[in-house]
Amino acid sequence: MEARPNLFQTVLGAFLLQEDTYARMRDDAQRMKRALVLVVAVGLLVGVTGACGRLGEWAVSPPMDKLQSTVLSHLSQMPWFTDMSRNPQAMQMFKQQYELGWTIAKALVPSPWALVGILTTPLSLLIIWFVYGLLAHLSARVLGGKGSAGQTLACTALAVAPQLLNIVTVLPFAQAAGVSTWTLVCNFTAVRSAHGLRGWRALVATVLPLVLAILIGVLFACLGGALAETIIGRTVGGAR
Amino acid sequence: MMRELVAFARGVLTLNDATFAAHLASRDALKRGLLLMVSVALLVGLIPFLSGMASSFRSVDMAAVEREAERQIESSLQFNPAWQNPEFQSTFRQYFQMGFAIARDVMAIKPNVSFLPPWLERLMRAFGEWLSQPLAWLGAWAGYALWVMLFAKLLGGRATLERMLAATSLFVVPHLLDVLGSLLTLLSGIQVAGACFGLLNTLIGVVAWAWGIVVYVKATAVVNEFSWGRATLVTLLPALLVALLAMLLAIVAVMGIVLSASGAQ
Repeated sequence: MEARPNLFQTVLGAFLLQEDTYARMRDDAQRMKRALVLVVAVGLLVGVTGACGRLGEWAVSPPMDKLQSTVLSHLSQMPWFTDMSRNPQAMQMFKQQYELGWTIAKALVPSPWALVGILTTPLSLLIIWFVYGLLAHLSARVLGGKGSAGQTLACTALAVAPQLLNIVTVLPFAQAAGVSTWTLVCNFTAVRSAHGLRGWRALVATVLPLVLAILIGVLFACLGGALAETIIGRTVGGAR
Repeated sequence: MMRELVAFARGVLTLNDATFAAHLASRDALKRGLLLMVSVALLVGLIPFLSGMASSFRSVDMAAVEREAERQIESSLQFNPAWQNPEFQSTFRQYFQMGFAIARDVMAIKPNVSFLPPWLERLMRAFGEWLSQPLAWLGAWAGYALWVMLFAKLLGGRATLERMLAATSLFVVPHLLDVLGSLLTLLSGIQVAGACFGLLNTLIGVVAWAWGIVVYVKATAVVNEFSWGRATLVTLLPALLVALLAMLLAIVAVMGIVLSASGAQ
């Protein structure tokens, strides 16, 4: 009897798009358990390494509060600042914009909060895998696929393999590119393997959930934008 | 092993049919292609990384940087006809000095973990950027290959996804020339001769880039069983479409600006 590949071999095979890795997962009696373990293990690994890297970046970076006050102290010595300070309304506006800019910057730079990623990364991978897997299953079935929901979920779990590229972020300032593209490629292989679909049908079944997600995302972004505009409008209006 | 690698690289560079066929017939073609890409990207980035690593230990002499910037700005103020207004020049100098004062104070701020040496950030940045390079190549190559494959399929190509990725990954082989280019970059600091090395470096970059495209076209032709013409078309189509899209967006943006400006008047 052929030995079952370990987690590392499975992830490597999935990353290298090896048909037998996907077929083995599809036909495994304990596929859902294996898929769940795979997603959680990869998520934890990526979460821990990413958090380490972000923490390292934070450690060697200057404190943002100090940066903010240093820049402000210099700006306040500039001639235009003196002119502006005569107008209380302009001064108020400047303070608001300055605070807003730094609040956004502080949210983007690394902080000890990066440790939360150890929990949120596996959790988000699980949610994305589950939602995508179900949507891909539905679209594959509509297009004539033969696989079960369990088989689709098991195979699409292998598409977390490219997330391992993110391990490079254990080094501060390192960035992983190509993860989403390679995930798409792995998902295509997974849907093709789980449902026995070929060519264009497999492509459409793979891409359809993403198109749906983008459309929903755009809708939410528009709603969020309108909401933010209203809130900012009220805040600025209130300040006046 | 080394002899095999050299023979393989020579086969790819000379667009040898047998080399491409043997590569595609291998079960590990994609793995080999990915390893090749990572190795070439790391090699190309090695010299800039070592140079960055060496300079990360030197503390930044802000006074020297300021003097050099001042010298360049003074010559611009002297010779640029648009900057001859004395009032503009005085304001410019004032703000330049204020900007440098900000930079000086920001550079002096200690990191969050204050006992860490200031060179550590520069060293980590150099190392992180070096190791990110292969992934940046991988992302760009995979993304582009998917579009090429899409167009190839529309034109009757016979490649599977794995074979297409494995074949097109060979485009990195000519980029070994970039290693030579990065070596020349080190010499570009030498007076007069440095300019020649810089020019040579650019030339090497262009040759590696063009050769890479030729290898890409050959790989696309072999894996899809296409003629050279059709393979060239599907290789260039995604880039052409992106250029066309960018041009259309630019035209729309310019039209929008012109219309809004005329509306405001």
